[in-house]
Amino acid sequence: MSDAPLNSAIALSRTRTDRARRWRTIRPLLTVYLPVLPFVAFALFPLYFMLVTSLKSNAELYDVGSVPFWISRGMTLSHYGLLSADTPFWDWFANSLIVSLSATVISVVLGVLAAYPLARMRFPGSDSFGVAVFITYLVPPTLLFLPLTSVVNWLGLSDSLWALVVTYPTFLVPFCTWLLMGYFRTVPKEIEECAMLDGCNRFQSMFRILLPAAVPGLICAALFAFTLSWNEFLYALVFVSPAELKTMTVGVFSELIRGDIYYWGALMAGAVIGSIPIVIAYVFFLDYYVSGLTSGAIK
Amino acid sequence: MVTSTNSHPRRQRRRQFLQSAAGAAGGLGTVLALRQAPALAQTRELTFLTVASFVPDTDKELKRQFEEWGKQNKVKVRLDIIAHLQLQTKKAAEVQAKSGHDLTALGPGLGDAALYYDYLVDLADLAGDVGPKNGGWLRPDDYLIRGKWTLLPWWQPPFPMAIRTDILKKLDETPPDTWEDWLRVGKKAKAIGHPFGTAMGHSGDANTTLLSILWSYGGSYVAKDGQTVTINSPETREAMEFVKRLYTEAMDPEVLAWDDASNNRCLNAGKCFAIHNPISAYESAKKDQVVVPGTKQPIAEVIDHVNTPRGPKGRYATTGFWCVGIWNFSKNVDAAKDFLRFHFQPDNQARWVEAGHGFNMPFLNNLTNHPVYKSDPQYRNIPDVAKVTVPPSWPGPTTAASQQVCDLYIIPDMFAQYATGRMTLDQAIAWGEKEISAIYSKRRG
Amino acid sequence: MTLKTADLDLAASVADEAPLAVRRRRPRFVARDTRAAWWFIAPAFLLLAFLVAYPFVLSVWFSLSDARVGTSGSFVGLDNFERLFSSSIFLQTLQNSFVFTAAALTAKIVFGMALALLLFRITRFKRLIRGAILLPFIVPTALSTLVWWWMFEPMYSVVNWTLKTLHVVERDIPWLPDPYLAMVVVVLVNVWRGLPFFAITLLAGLVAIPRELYEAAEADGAGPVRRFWHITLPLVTPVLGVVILFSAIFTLSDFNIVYVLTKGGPLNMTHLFATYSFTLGLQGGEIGLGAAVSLFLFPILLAVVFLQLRLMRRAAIYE
Repeated sequence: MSDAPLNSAIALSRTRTDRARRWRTIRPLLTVYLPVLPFVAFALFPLYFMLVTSLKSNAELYDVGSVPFWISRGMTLSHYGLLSADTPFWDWFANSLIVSLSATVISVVLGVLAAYPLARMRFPGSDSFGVAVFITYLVPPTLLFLPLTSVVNWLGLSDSLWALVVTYPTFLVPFCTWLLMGYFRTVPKEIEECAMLDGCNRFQSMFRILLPAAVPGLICAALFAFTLSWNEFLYALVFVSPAELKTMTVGVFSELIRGDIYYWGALMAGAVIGSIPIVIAYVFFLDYYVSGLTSGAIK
Repeated sequence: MVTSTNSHPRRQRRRQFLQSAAGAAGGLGTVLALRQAPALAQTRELTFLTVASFVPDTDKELKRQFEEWGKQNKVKVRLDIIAHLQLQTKKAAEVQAKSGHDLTALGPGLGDAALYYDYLVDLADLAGDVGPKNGGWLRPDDYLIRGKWTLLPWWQPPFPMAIRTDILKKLDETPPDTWEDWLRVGKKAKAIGHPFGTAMGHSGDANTTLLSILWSYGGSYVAKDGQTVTINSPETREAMEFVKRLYTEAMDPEVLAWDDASNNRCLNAGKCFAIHNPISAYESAKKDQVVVPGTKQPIAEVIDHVNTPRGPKGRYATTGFWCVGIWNFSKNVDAAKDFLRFHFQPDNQARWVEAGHGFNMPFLNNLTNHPVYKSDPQYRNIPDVAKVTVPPSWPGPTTAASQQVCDLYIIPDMFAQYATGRMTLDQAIAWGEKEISAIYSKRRG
Repeated sequence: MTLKTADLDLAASVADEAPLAVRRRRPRFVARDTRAAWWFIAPAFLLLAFLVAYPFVLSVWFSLSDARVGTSGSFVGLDNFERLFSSSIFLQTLQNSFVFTAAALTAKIVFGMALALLLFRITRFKRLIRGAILLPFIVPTALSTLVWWWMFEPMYSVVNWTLKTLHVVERDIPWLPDPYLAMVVVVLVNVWRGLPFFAITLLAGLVAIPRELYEAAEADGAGPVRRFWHITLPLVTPVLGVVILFSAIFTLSDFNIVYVLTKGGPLNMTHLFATYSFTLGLQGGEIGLGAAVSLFLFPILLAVVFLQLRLMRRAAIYE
């Protein structure tokens, strides 16, 4: 996108300049905004459809003749009402929130602690630990939860939210470690070394120098950890049974799919409400998130 | 939607969590140190894992009975409900850890009893006790697994044929009774845009209906000895030829992707002319006040249910056999048995069937005469269907292998391979025989 | 996210050229560091050893045994793997997994790159558009997959409704019933969910490319296509490498999409390792066989990951 040749053409006739100016406003519309539209539509349509479905009356929802794209026979909040009144939805919601926040905090703390030496220190085994952390992702979770169930029981944690707070970090910590290790390496080592010469120990220098410089990386890790915990399904299903302790995803499934009857409207309403906290989190931190990725890659 | 009645314990539990969380802010080490401590009930508690019933009132009645029994016996009770799709995962985890609920729903199918044979309490005394009180079990020989009552058959949703009476009238026909006749009328219905609908993909309904057809034509996949694979027979061929015709002439290809809910939707959307399914479709049509497309006519008013069809070799049907059992790693076996005895008392069974609007039929003779089946003409044939309902492994016994044949959807795949023309008849049967033999040869009991 | 590994090695190699004064002091640090380092790592290490390594070792044992649910079984060597090779369903699963992963990855790479290039050039509504693009990646998967199912559900499919209303087709397209179309849908949903990860991460890679390189190339008269091939692509390759690696692992082990949409049908044409392993191990109770399915690719993946990490490191150093 070079404007330089255009700028040098100012001396030319006014009409040409006008046309050029118009071209400069239209061109990004044609070459950037227009092509990005289908991507945005592709990304958003299913979510829009989720919203519309959650607001339709059953009679309209199950009428093959009606237009599926919008609501033509009156909006209804009955599906949301059903969620609120007939199921412990808000309990599930609170559980999800508690578990996700706790797991996120634990994972980021452990991740910071583990990432620091991997990024900053040289010690025997540092390479293999780094690779080992990555390899945890190769371990298929489909059956891993069976032996893990025994461990959770042995710890006496089944049927309590603790079971989730303790097990979620197993898939979050490797991720946070990996991410933060990368981010820490982008922060110049020298400032820290200076601090240490001034008498700070490792821990202090990490806390006072490194972490403040790594805020976008921390936010990025926390957002990811929160998202993954919020969306987790299998462990939440297996480790916690009492209705009032279920997480949102599991709760919605167990109450709204009854054999061969699916409460589509209410399921979608659950999905809509369930997406809100995540969306809010990203709205607030999107810039940090992208810059967490971006500035990490610059260095 | 029954799981929450009392908000108090729930708040408490969460507060308990938050308190211990505050205490454990130090990190994981503290959590590990808390071993055994958090949220572990100190009083005796009897727990029951069950699946969300297709008719929510059933769960409410079960919960009521469970709580009533708990009050009488001064035992804390907890009924946990999950979606039936997730029961397998949950059971496997509990058995693996040898810890979990005391009572558990098992199914669909009796296969769990074989699969978890070593972990279930023998309930012979209970079965011998509650059976006679309710006029005896429907087909007691079918429920024995390796000679043991590792579970009590609990309820079944019988599979009648649901049919649109208005379309029938348009075609100037009466409800068919044989599979051949269903095909004949189905062809005519499809011609006016209302195909016949039965699942042929990876779903429980596909197993159910295709097995019903297989038996009605005299075929089977395993002999009474539970070892000899019998799928390669002239009768199977006949059944497969029939299904191919049914598929190409009276159905739409979408049935290959149907799940258990699809045929309900097909009927309620006003598309399908008839479906082989429990009465749940009708119940939800009534509840959601769905109308026939383009009219004001409630679709529930033009649905009727007739007996499951018969074939040249008789009338057979199967269904999900839902059962209940007690884990032998439970610490409350006696209390659990006691609750089951309570639940299987005739008056409690009657109330529970009443709450299910005729959807959940117990495997007990007296309950086939329950007034609920006369309360709505829709239900009139359901007891008849229940009487010809056999387990999916029939005529063989239920074993882990027979269950795996269902879990891997070998029968629907075999039928579909031929019906869709991906394989010849010989190839499809050879494929099915190979897969089934492989499953049986690698299994004991 | 992890894209930094590569760059970070770059950063590390830069740090190696740190002033001599700092460097000479290192030996003293190293001695003290080893202990300190382990203290830092200990919590994470314990957690992973206890809650991942132990179950993992047990899973490996399962795959070599005839374990059933509830038993630990006895050692049978590679019997399970042999059995798998004689099962037509498993061979189908193997094929499906590769088709699925290859198709989904290709689509995500091509469209992800295109989208990243577009996002890079967007100036107005930047937050809004980036946020919208990211959404599929962050809404709860278990629920968003349900929406897709609802959209392709044979009866009420909004896709078919649209095609029919626009008279593109006359009859319903059997999306999920047809073995090939079912695979197309499953891939589509995977792409929907994974594309944001590619786009946003590659965007981060693009931002990192120094502007001067483009200006220089432009001065030399290089057009946009040449600039892409000679500057953009080589410089985002390390990032792309990590993204592909990560995505390949997660795509290969996908469970939810197939489980919700097709359960592996029709005719087992969409079974993936995870769903087939689940069917055998949990529904069939044959934990040993199920574990063998899910660990089938482990040795290969391990080798790939190892090589890739090494290669990336080397590439980073030579730059």
